[in-house]
Amino acid sequence: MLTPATQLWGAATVIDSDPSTKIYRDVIFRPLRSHLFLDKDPDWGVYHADGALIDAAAYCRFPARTLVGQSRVIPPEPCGNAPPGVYVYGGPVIMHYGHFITAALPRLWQIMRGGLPADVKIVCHSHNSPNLWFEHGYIAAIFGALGLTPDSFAQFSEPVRIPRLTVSRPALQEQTYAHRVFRELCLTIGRKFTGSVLKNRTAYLSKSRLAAGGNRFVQEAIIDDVMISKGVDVLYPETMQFADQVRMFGAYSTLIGTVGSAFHTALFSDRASRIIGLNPDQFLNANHALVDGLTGNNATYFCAEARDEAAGGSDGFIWRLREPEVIAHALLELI
Amino acid sequence: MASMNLLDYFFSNTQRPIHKNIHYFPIYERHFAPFVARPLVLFEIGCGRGGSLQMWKRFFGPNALIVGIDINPNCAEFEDEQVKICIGSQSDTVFMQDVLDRFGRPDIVIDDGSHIMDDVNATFSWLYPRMSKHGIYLVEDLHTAYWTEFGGGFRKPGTFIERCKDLIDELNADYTRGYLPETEFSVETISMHFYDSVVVFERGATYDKRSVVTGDQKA
Repeated sequence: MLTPATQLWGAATVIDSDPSTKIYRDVIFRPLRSHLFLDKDPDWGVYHADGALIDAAAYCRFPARTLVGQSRVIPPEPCGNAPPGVYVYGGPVIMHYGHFITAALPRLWQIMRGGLPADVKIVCHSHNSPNLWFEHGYIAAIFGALGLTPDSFAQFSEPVRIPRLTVSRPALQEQTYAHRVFRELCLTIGRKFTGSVLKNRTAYLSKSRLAAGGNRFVQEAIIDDVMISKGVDVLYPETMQFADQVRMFGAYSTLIGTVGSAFHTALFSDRASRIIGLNPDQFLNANHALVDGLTGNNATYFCAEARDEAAGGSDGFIWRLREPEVIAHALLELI
Repeated sequence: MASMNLLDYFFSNTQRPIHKNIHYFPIYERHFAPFVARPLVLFEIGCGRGGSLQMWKRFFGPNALIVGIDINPNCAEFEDEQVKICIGSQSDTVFMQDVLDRFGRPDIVIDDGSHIMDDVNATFSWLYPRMSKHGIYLVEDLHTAYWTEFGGGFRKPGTFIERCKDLIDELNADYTRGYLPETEFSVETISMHFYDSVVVFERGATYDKRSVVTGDQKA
């Protein structure tokens, strides 16, 4: 019924050393265009004055360093100057929990190490303002734990020249690698939310109440029911405060669930977890292997062999299990 | 200036005891010779019975500051005008920061401390990025990386030897076609040298990596 999902979608290398940090002079910051998703926007990014993309500031995925939008070279054009100040680059802030963890947070390891001096601003790419970011509980909690406020950030809606920009390479590149300092960063944040009550119990992280998002199973409520009947606590991470999600990883000895970004929260917990993940197919997003490599989680991922084709849905990532009850029991036998 | 022969010094030593493996001495001479008679800060982690501190003082000359680091308070007696002793744990970063604040960034680090893998790793992680941009970091007695009583084991993940294998890849990060990024280590390290029980890192930057052909094809 369940077979191990052993093929990685991407690579998962854990690196002991810190990423490199360099200061770039006379750079051009090009913002996201408001009407385009960032992966469809060839204009955004951080460029040298001659129009060449600054590789250290690029948002890439996979070992091939596939660019997420941006361009290798953009014809230089006149633009205004950023207000005088000292700037560090913070990467793209994407208002989706998983991408926020894997794309926005990985450049902030230097802030964790050295703090953010009062005269320094973090310049980010985002479709939204820093004030709006902080209306999202997880962003307010995570940035807040690092001592950051909306005033810590600078944002530009037009291309600007920045005379001096410090760029720390990201401590995680999606589907490729993660540096150990990323775990250190996440633990620094997570330790602000201590207070787990240890339970020798199992939790099932369900997406059955999730209104949108990928890798969902349409009959997951049936799995929920089986889990509850067997004494497993069924939790809905999207309904929980970030702090409670961190405590959840500290509390439960085993966590089961359909594979998704809720499992990334393990990065913030001191306690390595036993994780059993249900994946729609054989190809496991390597980001999960990166998280497990950093945390030491004892994780195994399975796909339901008897699944049907995608059942449809607006985002095309919804799957139909042939025998959800049987799958639920098979998951329980793995504990 | 011709430097003294360290092995001769070792065998003729009648002062404080020195405990070193004989085959380490050519390694020291190979990597430390460029620093002889120059202003220098050297950290030796693990003072033993004090003899090696005196040997470094004699080898490098009067402009070298030799800093011995050890958890044993009795090592304080090794201090003199050119040798300073700091008592604390090599993996205690608060203590190590204090050492750094007092004496500055070391040009040479010799890790001859506990030889326990956690300590060796922690010290390297913290101290290597903080030492002089053009220096030598030498870890000795790494046979312990294979011994369980020191946290080692054959190809056991997390030993310093296994870490060094990964660092070889980092040193060549530019050529991994995206599997590894440029790291702090890769941009601040020129070379790694492996010997029996010893690994040496040479810090510095390689600014020009172009592959170039010179000469006249007709010649």
